[in-house]
Amino acid sequence: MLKKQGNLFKEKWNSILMNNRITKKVPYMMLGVSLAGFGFFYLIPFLLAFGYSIIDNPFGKHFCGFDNYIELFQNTYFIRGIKNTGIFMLIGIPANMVLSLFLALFIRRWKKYSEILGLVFLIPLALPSATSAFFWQNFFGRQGTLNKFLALFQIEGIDWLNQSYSMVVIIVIFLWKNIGYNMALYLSGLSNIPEGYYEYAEVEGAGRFWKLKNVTLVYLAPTMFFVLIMSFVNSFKMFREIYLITGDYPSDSLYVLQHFMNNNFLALDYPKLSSAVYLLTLCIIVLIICLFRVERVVSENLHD
Amino acid sequence: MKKKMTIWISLLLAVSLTFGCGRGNNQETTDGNNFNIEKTLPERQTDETNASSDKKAGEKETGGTTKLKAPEMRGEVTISSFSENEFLNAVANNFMKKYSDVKIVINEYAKNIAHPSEKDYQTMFNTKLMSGEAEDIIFNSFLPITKYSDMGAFEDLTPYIEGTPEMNTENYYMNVLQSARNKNGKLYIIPYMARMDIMEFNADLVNENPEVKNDLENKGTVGFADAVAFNKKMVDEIKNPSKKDWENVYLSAESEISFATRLIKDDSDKFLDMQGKTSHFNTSEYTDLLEYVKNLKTEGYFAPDDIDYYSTKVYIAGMVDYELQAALFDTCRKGNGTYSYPLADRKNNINLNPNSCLMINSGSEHKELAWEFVKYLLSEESQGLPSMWGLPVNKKSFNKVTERIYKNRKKAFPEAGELKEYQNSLDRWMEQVNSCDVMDQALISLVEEENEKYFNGEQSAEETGKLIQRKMEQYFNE
Repeated sequence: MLKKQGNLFKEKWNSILMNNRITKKVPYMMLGVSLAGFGFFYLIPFLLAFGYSIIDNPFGKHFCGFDNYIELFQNTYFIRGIKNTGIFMLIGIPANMVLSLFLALFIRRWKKYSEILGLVFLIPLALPSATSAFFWQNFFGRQGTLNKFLALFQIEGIDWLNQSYSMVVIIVIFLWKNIGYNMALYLSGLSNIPEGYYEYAEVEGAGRFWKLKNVTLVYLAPTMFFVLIMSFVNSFKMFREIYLITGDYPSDSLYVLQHFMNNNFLALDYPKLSSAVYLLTLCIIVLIICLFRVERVVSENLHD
Repeated sequence: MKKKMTIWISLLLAVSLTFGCGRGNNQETTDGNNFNIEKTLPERQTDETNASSDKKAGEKETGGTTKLKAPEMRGEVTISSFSENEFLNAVANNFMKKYSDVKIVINEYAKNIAHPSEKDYQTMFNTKLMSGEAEDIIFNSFLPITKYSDMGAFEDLTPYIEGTPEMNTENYYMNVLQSARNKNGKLYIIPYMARMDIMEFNADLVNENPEVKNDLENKGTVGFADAVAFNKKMVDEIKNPSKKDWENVYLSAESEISFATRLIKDDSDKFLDMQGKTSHFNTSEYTDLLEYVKNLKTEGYFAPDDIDYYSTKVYIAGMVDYELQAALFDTCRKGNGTYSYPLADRKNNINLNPNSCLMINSGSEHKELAWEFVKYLLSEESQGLPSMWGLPVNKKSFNKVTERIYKNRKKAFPEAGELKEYQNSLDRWMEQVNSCDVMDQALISLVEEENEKYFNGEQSAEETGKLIQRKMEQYFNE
């Protein structure tokens, strides 16, 4: 009797699972919880922030249309923030991608020490931002280690964090922190390229550079696209280090968009802050769409 | 697909627009008042400058009585305070005993936090303010009052004061109560206790220098730069080799950083224009100021940090002290006593310390009830409480409070003069207050951060001036 009931239950359960309508809904149900959290804590506040961007003052709340957006383009510091953020990304992201690729290729070649080298480059990622910021501040500060080292060679030290080219310092810190992560992604991508292609190329007399250009880079394209996206995301996180090293009001060359937003948040200037956020979001959406379009074209060519 | 996207975006915009129309808080006292007032008051004349004029700020307007309608004494009033305030707790308890249907909730930020930070408090307060959850009354410690007031975060208290007939010069130091009135005639913060800086000149050194003594006795107030000139004169005179009995004579016991800050505040118009949002730190005047202070330090005018004041006889020519102590020392102008004068700036403004002030949240739903509590806080009954540790703004409590403080402090300073003399000094100083130091603490921190690097030898005076100027421009123009 019990066995019969058990079998009936099994049949019914299997029929539920086989029911396509329910099976299709299962992933959405699973995702629903995290989507609900994302919606409640990110999406809804983001949408509500638009309301702040079209009023003059968070207390008076008089509608002012798109005046806040227009004023942003007349704001020296907003323009400076965009410019510096752009410079940082245009130099830092490609440098990060290229250096981490070469590092991955180097480690792959040196199989004997690959684990140790991989660990060495991943350690900066595990360090807390405050710790690394404290270290770099003491390294690049006026009384810092670098200046003391230069003094040994009778070279006068400078305040590396208050110069017109201080962004180079931040790029160096960005590379130090993120190179390990991208290297790990590239190593994974490289391990997915069939060895047979290299052997075939070797047999055909292809040189090292030919193999890199026509085998490695081609088959690494999807990984490179992912690395580009992650580098783009991680570049925004550099604000933590910049803020910890230089404070609310850094030198002109280190003033990024997040400084503008952070300071306006503290000053309760939510209309300005929200307008900047929406403009930035728009730029990011446009950039991501372009990247995906390029990735699609490259992938199609790859399959061809 | 495109059509669907367009419809969604349009819907989104439409929904967002509805959030742009919220409960506005109009700071203008027009027909849309949030409080009950039986008669519309005439527009107050704004003072051109903050300098004391023949007509004291705060004199009650004549011509008809207007009175705020007392609200129903029922509900809850919330108060935000950075740290525990014994006086506030005592007044709140008494208020609740008097009005059993009113609940006063005091949120003391530092109470349950191991390392309370002012910046964290400000962030927490901002979040509450923007979410509409901020307390009804805010006890100010270091909030950027000017910025918040310009935004409309705080209620203009002028109509409340003018609608309270008992708030007049007979009962209150109205000049103190309204010292924070801005150039637009608005009053966003009022003190519940008067704190001001008093310059104390060492009586022994002054008595040793008849010229300085004569100059001081003709003064009612003194500016910091002038005080430094007097002090330097006294110290130089004492350092004369013929006066070898005098050891450990110094100009100041302050750090060079706070000394420099006082010099800046003394002539703040030269360096900072809060209303015009401009600054002038990359000037030769500023570098001269820094070099002057550094030279004073180098030449040994500042007392060393490691001096033992308990076992060594030290003569500090001038010290900035708070009024209750300074008035006591002033009653004995010899020995350990001092010649004490209120510290004024170049425009002869005697500034009230804003740390003992309070504001009413403009978004509060219980403004009238909050004002009733504020009135009670400023009443004779509350201001005379034993936990009142500063100068009361209520005249009727003045004698009681000052007598209690005098008796307490005389134990540590038995050579102090008579109580009457003590009270007369304090009363005279209270009558002189005509302004409130509402300079944003963040600006002071910006200046002191760079000045510290200069005094530590990390950068030159010119670099310091340039860096401060850059930071100020960022602060004002972001």
